[in-house]
Amino acid sequence: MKKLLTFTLMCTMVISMLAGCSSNNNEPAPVKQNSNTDNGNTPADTGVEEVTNEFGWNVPKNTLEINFYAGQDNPDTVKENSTLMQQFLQEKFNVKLNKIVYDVDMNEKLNLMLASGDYPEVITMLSDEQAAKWIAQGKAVELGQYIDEYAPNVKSQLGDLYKSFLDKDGKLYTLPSYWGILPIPGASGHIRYDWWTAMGSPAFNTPDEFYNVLKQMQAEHPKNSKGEKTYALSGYAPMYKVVAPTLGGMWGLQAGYKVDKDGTNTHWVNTPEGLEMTKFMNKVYRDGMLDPDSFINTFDDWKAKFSAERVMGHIGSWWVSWNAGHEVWQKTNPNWKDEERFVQVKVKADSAEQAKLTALNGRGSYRTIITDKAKNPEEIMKWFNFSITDMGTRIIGWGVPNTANSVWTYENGTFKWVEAMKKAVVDGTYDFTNSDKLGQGVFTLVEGVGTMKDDGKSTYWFDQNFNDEAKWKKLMNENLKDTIYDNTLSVIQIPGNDLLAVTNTQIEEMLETLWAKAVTSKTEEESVKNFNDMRDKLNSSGLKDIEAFRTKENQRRLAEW
Amino acid sequence: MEQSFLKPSLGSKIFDVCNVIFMLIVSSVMIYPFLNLLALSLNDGADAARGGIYLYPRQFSFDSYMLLFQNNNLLSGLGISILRVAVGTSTCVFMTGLLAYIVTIRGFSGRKMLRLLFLFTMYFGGGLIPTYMLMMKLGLINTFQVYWIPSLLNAYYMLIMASYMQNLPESLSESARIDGAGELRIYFGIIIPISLPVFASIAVFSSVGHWNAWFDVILYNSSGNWDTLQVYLRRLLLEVEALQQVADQQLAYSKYRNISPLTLRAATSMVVTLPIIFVYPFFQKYFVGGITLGAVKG
Amino acid sequence: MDKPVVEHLPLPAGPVSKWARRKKTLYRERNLWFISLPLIAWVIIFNYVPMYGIMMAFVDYVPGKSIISSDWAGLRHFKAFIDSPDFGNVVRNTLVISGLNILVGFPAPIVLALLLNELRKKRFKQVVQTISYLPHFISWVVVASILFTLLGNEGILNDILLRLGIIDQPISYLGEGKYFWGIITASNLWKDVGWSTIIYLSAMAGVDSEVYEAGKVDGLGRMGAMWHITLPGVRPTIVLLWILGIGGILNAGFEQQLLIGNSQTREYYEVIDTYAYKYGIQLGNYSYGAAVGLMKAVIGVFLVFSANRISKKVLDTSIF
Repeated sequence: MKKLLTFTLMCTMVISMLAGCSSNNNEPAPVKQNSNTDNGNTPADTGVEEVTNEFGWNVPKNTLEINFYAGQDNPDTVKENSTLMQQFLQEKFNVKLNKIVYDVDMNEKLNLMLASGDYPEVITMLSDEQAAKWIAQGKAVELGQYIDEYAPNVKSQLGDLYKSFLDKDGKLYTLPSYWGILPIPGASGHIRYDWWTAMGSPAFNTPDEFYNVLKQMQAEHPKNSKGEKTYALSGYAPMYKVVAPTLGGMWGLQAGYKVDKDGTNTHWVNTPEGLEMTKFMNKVYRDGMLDPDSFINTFDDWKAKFSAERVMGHIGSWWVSWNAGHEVWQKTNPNWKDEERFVQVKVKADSAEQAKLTALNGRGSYRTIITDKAKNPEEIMKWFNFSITDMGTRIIGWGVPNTANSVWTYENGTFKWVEAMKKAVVDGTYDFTNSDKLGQGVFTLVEGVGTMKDDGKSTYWFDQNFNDEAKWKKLMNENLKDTIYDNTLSVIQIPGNDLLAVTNTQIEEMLETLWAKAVTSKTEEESVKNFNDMRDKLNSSGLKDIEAFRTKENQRRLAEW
Repeated sequence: MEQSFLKPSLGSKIFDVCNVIFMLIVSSVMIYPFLNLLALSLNDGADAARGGIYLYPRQFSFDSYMLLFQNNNLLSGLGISILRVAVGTSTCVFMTGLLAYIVTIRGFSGRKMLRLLFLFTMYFGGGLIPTYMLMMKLGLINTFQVYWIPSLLNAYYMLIMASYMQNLPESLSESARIDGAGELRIYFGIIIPISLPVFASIAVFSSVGHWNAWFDVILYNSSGNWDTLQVYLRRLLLEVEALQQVADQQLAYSKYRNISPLTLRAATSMVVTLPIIFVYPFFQKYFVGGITLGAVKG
Repeated sequence: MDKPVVEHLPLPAGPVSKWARRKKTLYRERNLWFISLPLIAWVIIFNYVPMYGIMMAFVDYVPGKSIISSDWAGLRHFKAFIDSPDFGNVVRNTLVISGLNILVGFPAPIVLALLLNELRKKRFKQVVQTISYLPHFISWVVVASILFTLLGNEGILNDILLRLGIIDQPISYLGEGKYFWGIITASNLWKDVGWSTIIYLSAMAGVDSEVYEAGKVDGLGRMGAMWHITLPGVRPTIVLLWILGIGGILNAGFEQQLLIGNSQTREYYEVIDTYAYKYGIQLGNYSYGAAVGLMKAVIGVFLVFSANRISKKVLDTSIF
């Protein structure tokens, strides 16, 4: 028996070694993941004249192939979602886009790419800081030289923003993706709608009034249907990112900072508003209205409580109460009624001039670069030149047109919505897996997500195009219309590989710990004391340096942009 | 040990009863998360998001498993995982065993040097980037070889195997040596048969290690041609992790909308974990019975 | 313990030069060296060649540049770690968590293995053994979420205590630092105790059955056999794992800290590895991470050598 086992194992070993060695050499090292090799529609590349297709793109004679790395994502899903769109672009445009994603953390993969020299010709989804590394090592192509000849649309579409992407020598290395201003809400206060109307829809405006309404609501619904305790508010970690910026916005702070007209940045812990918001949270906590696990919950933990109807309000991103609220109930409760949901509401302290709940960043958070691997950067720029136009953005954002499942059609130079799809979005019954299959957003490289210039209302996000007709979106937009502001100048990243980055990490970690302490204090005096301790500790750990850095950068932008 | 030859005394009986009770308690604590995962995986996806599922599903549904098995890649992943475990474990166990044998031969002058040479590798390493560059230079990136060649020898396993072999009577290999047997023959003919318990336990360690490995798969085999089963599970978990970086609210919404439900993650955990669990009972018999050295001596 | 067994090859007598003797030994052991060479080549290629990466600790490494062309930093990264405000805390947490892991996690598998070994029903024994190693396969993400349902403010434990009237306010077990060390030790124990028994069980299986027979003849009871035969039989394994455990005292875990710990318990969960990860890798500062790693390695090797020497003196057992 033992001999037999040994023998079997030895055999497996030898066979697999042989098998392994033989397959070793003929295995290419493919960088591209989604190359659709079984696509038989490659147009012949000889003898065809360059023609302009119905979308206004000059179809090149030779297929233009662009491989681009787009960060961390699930390769299987991306492959699946690219197929239709890739085919469409190849047929109509003779452009083949290959989106490459890996399961590996993007930072780590970028570093490996830099170290090994193994990377594709375009990289997107970079932060400013990540892009800076590639530029510093001379691995990003200067794009300004091609703009006037090959990509004038980039300049005209970006408009005033264009110069903000030039470095101090006037060179252009990065282009933005997901840029532009779309004046729709991003964050807000939230309240359980049906319970609020059942209370007679009491009006509220200030945080204190919001608190009173929630308190009354919790008194009326102390337990959920399963007899579990309910809370007026909850949250999930990290609270300084999830809740604090929106909460501060109720007192007029901009994404956690007080920004003066001259560009001076003051972190919220150094402002009286910061104390007020901490006192507010502490009051909620002391009255047993705050989920004591708020600082510990993960998103999943929070979602479980939220969808079990144990939470009646929220402060933060607009969509989370949809995702964890009625979008779950719709599916699990056959008797679900349209009113059983959360609505997004404005809350503004009296002291604040304006509630600044939604910070918009016209420059977007992501950057695209062309690397030194590109043989013909000007060809890639031509594609950027097209895809940044309003028509290009429609194709990339809304997915393949003119098919059975498409959400839009394009014929004779005019586009139309597919009514059934539009209605589904308006009614809230749209199945978003359809969007994925159509390739919506898969090949985003330089597209803007703001309001389009040609008709002044279309936008990249398919489901955000009918907000005036969709009842609940409309309600949200009306509630929040004066809480949205342009924060482009004050979205400032701390440069990496710098002492300030270390300080910044330290501050963020201490902030979360110490704020939790201040919020969960047993008395108001204790809370104020803990708040003051927090402020002193953060300042002595270098918060002032970060404020100074931001102020300087903010003032530079004020002067130059 | 089979202790049936002992006449059980009263104390011995009490001990047995307590022992069995203790083991039952331990088992129930150990098995709970598995039952929890099983219950989750058999629950309806949207319903499970509401939490509160412990030992049995609330809304029974096979959907997660159906969805999982629609994925054809899963089967090829299973094949590659099995191949990896078979090749990786057999090579690792035999080669590390050989190393362990060599460093236990008393009187061999290179013994201590070899032990130290390997011991240092447990503490010092070059880090991610130099290792990646090495694999690239050796042409191991995007090949199956990267799964077993770099893990051929393991210092920790070597020490465990050596500590077992040290206990063996010296006379066995010595007499064979006098008879003119070569070292490899002694290793295969004498050492392996009497060291089966430790070979079996290292085989369990190594095969579980190979089965569970995912970081080297996504790092070195990013082409996706050699994806193992484990990668499908990690993908679902990493998906969630990656979401926390998303800065744009609309983008975040569209990504969170697509996230695979808790139940699918649970079902994947089950499918990925169950096969490897049965490796243990397979090897178990080699260290349950104990061995009688006399049989080998004779 | 160390007496030569290759006695049939006579040692050369008389005053021969050291070099000649060495050559003779090499020749005598040529077969062994012949087998060893590929093994040595393997370890050099796969483990020692990439070790040039250690140099990263002494420069300001930027991925994409070579280490040699990077700016020299000397001991700055080491100093930065030691001078960082969290240093004391991080070292304390590492040592305490590791210490608890050794204190509880080291003897537990030995005891469990001994008890498993005493089970009479073979089938039951096998089933229990298999179940006891199941938690090893549960990822820390799942463990963390189970702990949350168990120990959260609204967890099962608080629920029971509240109903029994033992407490009137829920206790935030996961949100208060003082409970963290206990929780993490228990979680580690639960997850790996069954897994670690495997080594001991295989070592126990290696004890010659004839010795038990002889023990029976000498009138040893069950406890006696356990104490006088089984335990000494697995002593080399125990000593080996003990020495390695001492050497690994700076590895206090990583994933479990990040998943079970939270902002409120940070003062108690942050260990060297999580700290080096946050301030090294995550900030793109590989040199910092390398410096911390090198420090850990040097201390680890020093501890292993000391532990080995002590065990050689006291127990007459050593691992090299």
